[in-house]
Amino acid sequence: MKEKINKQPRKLFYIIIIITLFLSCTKDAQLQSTNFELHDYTNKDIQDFYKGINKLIILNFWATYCSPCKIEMIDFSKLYNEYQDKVLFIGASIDSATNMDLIKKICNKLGVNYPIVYGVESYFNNTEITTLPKTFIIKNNKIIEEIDGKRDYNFYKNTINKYITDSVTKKLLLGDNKYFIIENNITKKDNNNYLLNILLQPKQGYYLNGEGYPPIEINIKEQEGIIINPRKLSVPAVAENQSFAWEIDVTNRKQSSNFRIEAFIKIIACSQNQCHIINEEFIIEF
Amino acid sequence: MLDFFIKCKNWIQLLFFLILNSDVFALIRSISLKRALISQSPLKNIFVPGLNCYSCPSAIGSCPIGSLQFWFNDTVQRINFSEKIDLAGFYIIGFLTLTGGICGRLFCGWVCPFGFTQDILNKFTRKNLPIPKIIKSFRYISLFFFVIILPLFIFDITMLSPWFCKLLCPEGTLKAGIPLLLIDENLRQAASVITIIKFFVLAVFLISFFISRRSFCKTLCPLGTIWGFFNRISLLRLKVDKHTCTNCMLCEKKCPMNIKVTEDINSSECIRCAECIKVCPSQSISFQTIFNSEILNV
Repeated sequence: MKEKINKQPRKLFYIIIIITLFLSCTKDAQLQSTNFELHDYTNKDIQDFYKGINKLIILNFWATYCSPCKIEMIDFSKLYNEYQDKVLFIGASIDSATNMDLIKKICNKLGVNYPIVYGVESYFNNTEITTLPKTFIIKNNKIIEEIDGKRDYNFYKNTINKYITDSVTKKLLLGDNKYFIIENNITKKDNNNYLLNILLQPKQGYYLNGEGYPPIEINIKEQEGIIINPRKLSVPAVAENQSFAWEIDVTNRKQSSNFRIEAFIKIIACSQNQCHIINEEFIIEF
Repeated sequence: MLDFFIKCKNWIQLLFFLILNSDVFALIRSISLKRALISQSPLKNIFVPGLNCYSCPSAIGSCPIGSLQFWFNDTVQRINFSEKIDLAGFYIIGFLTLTGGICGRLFCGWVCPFGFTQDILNKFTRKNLPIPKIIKSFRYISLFFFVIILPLFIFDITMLSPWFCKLLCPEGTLKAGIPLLLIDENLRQAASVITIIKFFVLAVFLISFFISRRSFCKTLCPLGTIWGFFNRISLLRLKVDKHTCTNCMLCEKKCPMNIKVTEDINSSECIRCAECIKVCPSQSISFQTIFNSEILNV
């Protein structure tokens, strides 16, 4: 039976040819090839690789056949350049070890600059790797986040910033104080060392101490096992619409990681017509 | 005997639907762990003759269209880096040629789980509006552009993807995308524009199933399109006996693919569902082999 050749499939055919020719002209993005370390981990535990490294570890499982993984790896290389001293990226390829050459060439093309391990099984921390890409964020040998699927550059940048600094900002109001605000901000430098910032700001219509008055004093109570430096803070005055901040180093030598420090503040808060003496205690929780 | 099979056709389709999605253990494990787990049984190495997404948690076997695209991606990447090509793709091509060469689009009518889904949904309205030819020809774009050209000719290695599966396939969205997104919270956070596109495509088709029977098979299915090329030359084919045919046109009214049955019964659109055989009052339509002998005659 002879087939009728319709005009429409023919037109379609020409359109397809033109699009093919157009696509074949697309240029592959030429990326810098940089040196990266390639490690064979066929039979070893991948944790051996990052044990003892005191940085934020980002362990990314990928494969040569996974395109979203490759896009992510370009972002990881950029982030590794920025955060090299705080973060270690590890790319774990679940391809079979026979694909080592292909892995090397792909990593060169993508400009990977962080260590790559290959030949690992698609297994980590007793869970199967079933989706790609899969990324584990590890800190102090503990998995703190598990990310399924591709995320963009900004997501990982925010994640890194979230975990490399532990920052807690607490606003502390002394009772129903209408004269000033005291805020504190605690930054964890490492396991036992903290940086405490105390900010003092008078409220609208008030100024603190000044001419004719003694300086503002904050005295932090001495505590066994906690090293506080300095313990006595002072400033002559804080004018209206201004603020003053102190930096205090706190070291915790106690067994427990939770502790608090107590401080006394002596302030004279003045408005246009009146002055008030405030002596109060406040507590900062760590 | 053929009568019996035709009467039980929906049950046969249901049986294949269950067999092709029978790795219930993988599904249960996935749900209990609240993670997207896909069956990794050795049966995944076999191709199934139907559109059944590899990523459905309980699916056994591999979708030939998905595998074909992945092989194209892999081949392009390997050529790019002067590596040896994996010959697995020739198995896929061989499988499609063998199945198509034997019975053309028969699997569409009797085996494909998505075909079954469409048939069942259409039973609620029993409407079958014909689709304009220009929209029907989109299945060639689906096959040649999304399945073959895009996975083969995109030279940026970060863009190599199974583009039909990624952007279009409503079967994948329905049987793999939705269950996995429901099971795994982590996966939901990775949802993007592509997820929206795929759900939109699925929504359009779900509505169309109630209006036009087998609308996906008519307009988009690349697997059916490949098999359709074999319809005219396959070992098994259909025949209309012009001597006994009374031109009552009941076959054309019943045909889910809106084919001109009496004129072009072995058209590339025929899914060999045998509904025309069932409905013909003069029993003029029958299955035949190329040797012109009638088989499975009642």
